[in-house]
Amino acid sequence: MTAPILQITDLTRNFGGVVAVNGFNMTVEHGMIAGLIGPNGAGKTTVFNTVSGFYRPNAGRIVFEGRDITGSPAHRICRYGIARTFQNIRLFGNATAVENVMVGGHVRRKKQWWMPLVFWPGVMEEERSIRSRAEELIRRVDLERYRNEKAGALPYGAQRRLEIARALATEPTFLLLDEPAAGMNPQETEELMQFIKRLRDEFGLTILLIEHDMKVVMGVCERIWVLDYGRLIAEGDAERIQRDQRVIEAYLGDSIDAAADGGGERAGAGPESGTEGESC
Amino acid sequence: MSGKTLNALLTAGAVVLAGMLLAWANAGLDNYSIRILNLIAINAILAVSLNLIYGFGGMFSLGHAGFMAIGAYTSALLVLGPEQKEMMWMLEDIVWPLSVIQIPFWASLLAGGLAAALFSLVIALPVLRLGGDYLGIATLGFAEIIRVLITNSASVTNGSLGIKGIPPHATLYVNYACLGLALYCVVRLLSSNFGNVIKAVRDDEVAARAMGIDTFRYRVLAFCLGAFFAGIGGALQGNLITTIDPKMFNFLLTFNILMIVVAGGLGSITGSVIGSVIITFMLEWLRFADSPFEALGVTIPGVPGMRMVVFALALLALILYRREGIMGMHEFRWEWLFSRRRKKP
Repeated sequence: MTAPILQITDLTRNFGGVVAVNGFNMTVEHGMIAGLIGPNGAGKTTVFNTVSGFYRPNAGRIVFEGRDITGSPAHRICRYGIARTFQNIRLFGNATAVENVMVGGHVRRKKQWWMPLVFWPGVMEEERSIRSRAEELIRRVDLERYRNEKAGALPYGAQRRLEIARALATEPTFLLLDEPAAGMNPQETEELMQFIKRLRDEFGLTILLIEHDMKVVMGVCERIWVLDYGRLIAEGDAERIQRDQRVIEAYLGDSIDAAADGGGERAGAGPESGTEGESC
Repeated sequence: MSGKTLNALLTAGAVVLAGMLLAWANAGLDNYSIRILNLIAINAILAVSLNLIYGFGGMFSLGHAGFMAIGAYTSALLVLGPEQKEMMWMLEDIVWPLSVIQIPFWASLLAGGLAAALFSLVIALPVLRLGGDYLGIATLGFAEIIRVLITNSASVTNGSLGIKGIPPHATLYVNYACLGLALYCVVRLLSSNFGNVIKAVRDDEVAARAMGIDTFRYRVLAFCLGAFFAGIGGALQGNLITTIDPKMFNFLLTFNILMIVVAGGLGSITGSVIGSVIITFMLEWLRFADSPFEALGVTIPGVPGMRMVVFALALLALILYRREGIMGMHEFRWEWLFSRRRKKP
């Protein structure tokens, strides 16, 4: 509990003339479930994409476990121990559930790609352990009955859980969840909240999540950061955020329709929707 | 576990059976049929290598003829004796190291594959940053560049005269042994986690990167592996027909292989093998269409090129009614054969 696991200082990211994130600061402690909220287009996903290495920040520093990861490519950041899920689920649709998770396990392998060709000592054991670990994760997220189904054919909630299992296969210490409750009914949302808490405890994770569903945010997050127009407008625990005048203004504003944001609507507009962007 | 040993036994049995069939074919069939069998093996190697790049790696590459040319020329230049080369190079004298080198056939095959892989690495680094159709155009351009280079570097390649009198090392056994080895390598790689990863890179590059995969590295790897086997395929082809020239390696060659891969099924090794059997065989069998024949009581005069018309119609039908190809993305499995057999009674 000494040093924070993730420290973001003065993070800024522009897209052309639009400043998506502007001087953002955040310090996440070990073992915390943290929340990042804000109206549509506030820059939440941009923060995620910058932390996970998909965007290079224009300014600022990101330090993860004492290591400066600013501008590192996505695959290396994953190796350092940050895993993520996507707002619009991105599974490998043609592959089975188990194969999806096995891809996640690949980053921790020690053998080279050509070694199976010559039956290199230990390579078969490693292949088997990647598979058995994948099966184990599938079991732990309760997807056993879908293990050999095509990922694209799974029900929505199952796809969400599979994406989390795939992220867990990379053996992260820090998990980024981008709108895990999007498109879920109240029953599923309730289960998800328990699931997220269980994940943190069983895997010893630190979790940062973006969420529009305020029930989830207030229910699981121990600390919440609120973004509006790329700026941090509030930070604190659930109670404090709910009472914060600027947060209420940002969500309700002067037009009534902005209030709909609080109801778990899937985000769309603004630079933050560019999840598939590859600008780095 | 017992299922796995059973499968291994069945595979071993199938290999032995194939060997026996080859021995029978080698002894009992005429030269023309053996030539077709040889072409099937070489086409299967080429189709599998393109499938690795396009079907599994998702990289639309039209550079196969170029890789084949490099393989064929490397192998031919290394396998020929110094006297033969001295006699054949009439435009310009052959350059020094090549004028004295002669290595065994198998080593020249390997060298052909490695040369193609090395070249593919050089073009992969700039070109694989492109995606989709752009990659197709860029690789097509590179294949043409290779052809022009070969035509114009007479002191190395004998220019447009080509190379003749390559010893016919590529016998039926050699070709099928190479096919067997290529299939072993590709199937083994794709059934390891490498296979899951390369398909993941194809299906969703962003997600693959988030899973810690250096997607560019894996794409380059698949591209070079495909080029390696294409080089070996080209080398075999040169050693089979015993003469090569730059005109052989034009776009039509790439197109034929692409056709086999698409007809067999993108992303199916079984499909590529079946596709090369069917298409190689059909291209020969349809030769009857070029001569006068009778169909439905109407006499059709011999029109040269008629077989390509019939062939194109057959392909059109395949694409219309079975777009994913013969096998789709499925692979042959022993279980698959036996569960069917069990259903019958």
